[in-house]
Amino acid sequence: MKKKFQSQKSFTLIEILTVVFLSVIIVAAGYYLYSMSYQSFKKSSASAEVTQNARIALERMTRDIRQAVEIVTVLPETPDSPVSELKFQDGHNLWPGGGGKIQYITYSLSDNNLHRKISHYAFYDVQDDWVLWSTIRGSGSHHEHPTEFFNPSDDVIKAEKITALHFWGENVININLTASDGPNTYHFETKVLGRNVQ
Amino acid sequence: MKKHSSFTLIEVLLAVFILEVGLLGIAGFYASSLKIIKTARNETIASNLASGILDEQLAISYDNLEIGQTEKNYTEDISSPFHDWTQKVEIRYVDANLNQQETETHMKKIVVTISWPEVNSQKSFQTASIKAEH
Repeated sequence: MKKKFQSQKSFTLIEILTVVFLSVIIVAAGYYLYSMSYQSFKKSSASAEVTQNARIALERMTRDIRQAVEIVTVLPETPDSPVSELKFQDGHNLWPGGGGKIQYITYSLSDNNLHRKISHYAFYDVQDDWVLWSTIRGSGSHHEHPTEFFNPSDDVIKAEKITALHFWGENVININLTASDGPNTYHFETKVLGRNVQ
Repeated sequence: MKKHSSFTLIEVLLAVFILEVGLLGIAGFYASSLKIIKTARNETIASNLASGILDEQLAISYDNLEIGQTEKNYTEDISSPFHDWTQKVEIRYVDANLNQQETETHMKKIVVTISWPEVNSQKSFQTASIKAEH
């Protein structure tokens, strides 16, 4: 009995220590890799999301401005005192067959969200008759301007994480946009020619 | 006692060393993925800058679009994040098949190229449009 017990093979202390040491190294390397993956994933997705929001914002705005019929907002010629809101007459669905309604689009920034609001102008007594914003009824001291109407559901957030938005320039409209995911801030800019502006 | 085979210390250390090199190699993927994301963002920025320059050119009347090539800094403003970016505008006569011509064809092709520096390389983005005389 005793003899059999003594003949059993076993690990030496050195062997055990070596195994433990190597295991620790491998587990530590594994953890390092995992933590690096996680950090990298977080950083990458945050960065990609900001870029995506900025891209969507610029694409939406340039698409609408290219079709615009009239730019209502008075834009400064230089970037020194830019405006952060742009209103213009929608150039889509304008011609007979497409609805033919006169409506306006306003892009603005609120709580780092880019808003696109659709509104129209009409006189109170004939609200179904949508008119140009600059329409004047009557004359002299009896003249009146139309009122702006909009449905709250027509004020939609088109992009998030936009921290600054500036418009400037006559004829060709400059758009400067800043997007941020917190630690990182990125600048975007473009210019748009309103091809249909009259 | 029966002799049994086992790994030598050298063999084990070598195996661990190779494993570590492999893991570090994988770690290198993350660095390159961040670099790729940065390039992607710069491409987005460049495409917006390029279409802006193109719209600026399209606003010019056909007659005033000068044939030739101009290359300059995107902006002279040092505080701009794009002060080390460059813009190139090339305007050429093209025929109905869009082949370049030396003489008046009543059609001009505008090619805008935006270039920017990245780590160890210079990247660029190009866009183009046609303006016809009317």
